Amino acid sequence: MSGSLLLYLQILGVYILLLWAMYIPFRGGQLFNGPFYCMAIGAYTAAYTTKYLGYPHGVAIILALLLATIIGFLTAMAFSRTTGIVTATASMALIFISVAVINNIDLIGAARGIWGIPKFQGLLPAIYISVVICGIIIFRLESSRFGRALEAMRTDMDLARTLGMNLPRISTFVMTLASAIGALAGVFFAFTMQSILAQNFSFSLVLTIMAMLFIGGRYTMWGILVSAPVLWAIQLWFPSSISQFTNIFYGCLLVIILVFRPEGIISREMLQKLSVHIKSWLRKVKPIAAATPN
Amino acid sequence: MENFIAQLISGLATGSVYALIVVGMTLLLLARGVVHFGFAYIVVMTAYLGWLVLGLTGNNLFISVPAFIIIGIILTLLTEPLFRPLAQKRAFLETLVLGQGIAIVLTDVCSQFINYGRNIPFPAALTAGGARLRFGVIYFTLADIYVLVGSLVVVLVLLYFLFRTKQGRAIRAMAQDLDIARSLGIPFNKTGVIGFAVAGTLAGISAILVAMTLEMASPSLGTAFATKALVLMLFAGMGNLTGAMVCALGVGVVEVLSQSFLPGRWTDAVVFGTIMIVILLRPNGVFGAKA
Repeated sequence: MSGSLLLYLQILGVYILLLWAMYIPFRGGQLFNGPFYCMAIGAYTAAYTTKYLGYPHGVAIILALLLATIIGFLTAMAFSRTTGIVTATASMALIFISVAVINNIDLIGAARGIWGIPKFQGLLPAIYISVVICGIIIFRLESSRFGRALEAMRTDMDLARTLGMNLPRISTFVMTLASAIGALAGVFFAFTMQSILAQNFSFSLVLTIMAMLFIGGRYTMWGILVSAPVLWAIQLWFPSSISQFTNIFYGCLLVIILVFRPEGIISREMLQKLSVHIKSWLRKVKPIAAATPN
Repeated sequence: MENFIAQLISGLATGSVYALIVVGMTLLLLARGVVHFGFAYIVVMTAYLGWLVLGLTGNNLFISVPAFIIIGIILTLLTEPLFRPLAQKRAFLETLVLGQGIAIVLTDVCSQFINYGRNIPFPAALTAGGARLRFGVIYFTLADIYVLVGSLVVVLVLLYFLFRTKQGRAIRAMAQDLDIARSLGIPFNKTGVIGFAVAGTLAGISAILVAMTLEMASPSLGTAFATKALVLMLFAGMGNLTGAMVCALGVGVVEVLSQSFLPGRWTDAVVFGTIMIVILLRPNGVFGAKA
């Protein structure tokens, strides 16, 4: 496989993980930027333990996940009673705090970052196995009682509370889950790039991810599978004379989508219609299929 | 001590720039119910375009200063139709993301098309020739004093507009209850446009003040201003004008002091950290109503 395609697929996996991490709290109506700082924590833990302590990659992944999930849990506890714009902004402030802190700690390279992270054999399968596992977890979660609770929380918070739902506990859980998935994305990011800087996890990443999430459609978990591959391909493969305008293109597309189709390209209604069509089509096909052997 | 007072004045000047940006964003929040994250980027874009005008007119302040304000108004008004559908649905979080979309575009236009992405230096004509004043043993720049006085005047005029004129009252009525305000015959579109125009004026003036205090502008300035302004809005309590102004001045001072008295680049961590803790303890802001 060519290096460029490998890079494309690996980073695509990282983006999908990160997008799903953003998507889960959004189902409960929370715009939670936690996955970004947990991504930074995960990436730095994995890079530090593999490069300086010489730990094997598997141990590094587990350590990074543990550390980032604990920090994610603590911040999620703090955010459990805040909603909407407060969560969004306060968690965004945490991104800046973590970048400033990382840039000031000499032990982890400060502003120079960590480079020369040991190569991880079989990274691509590892990334996509994680993507599939996370996908299954989120899919199961969504179609469960818990998913309906999230939906109720997004639609009407007061009503959900009167129905006896423990909203702080629900939002702590989804935010911790989001943090853990974000950390996983960070670990894979560090292993893919083999060198990391605090700036990698800063505002430009937030904007890219927001564009992908909102353009693809943030009300279903499948929307991002349409937007992320296309937008990331534009950034990576278009000639540099065009790709220097990718951010402008992302921004314009994000604005256009929000003005004309706020629910994103793939909406819930669209998927429902599609499934009805497929079912009716299957009903038509079945009798024919049953008839053919005779 | 002398150093401390000089820093204090410089901090107040920085803070008053933040204050104007926060006031502009709060005004849009009141007039339209939008969180205009792109507003600070419009300020930076205005500074960039104003710099071009300064270059074209040979640093003629009589043309350039009004040009700054007109550019600010035009840029802010251009974003009004974009927010309208979301504002009508009252999709709060979505307006934040829409603002971020505008932010990417403006930042990249600044860094790709103007001055080859390099920082732009403002001419001495605009920064009062870099003149320094001396009171006893305390030195400070004349530009800082202009900024302080200028922003004070702007804020007083704005408060007069909001509390004493018909249009200002209409904006505050819309902020209190959109449905009742509309049923009383306050026009939704017109009031919003007026709000955006006033905010645009603030953007233009803020751009001039940015040029005067920093004497330069860079594409990354937008993000620094926008995040601080947004966090400050929350800190003071959403939609609280006076609270936001006080907090902005405070943050300006804390920032300048921590730059000169803390080692390394801990400023952002200190400022954001303090604000974060307060926000988490009081989600409605320091000056907001109790939950």
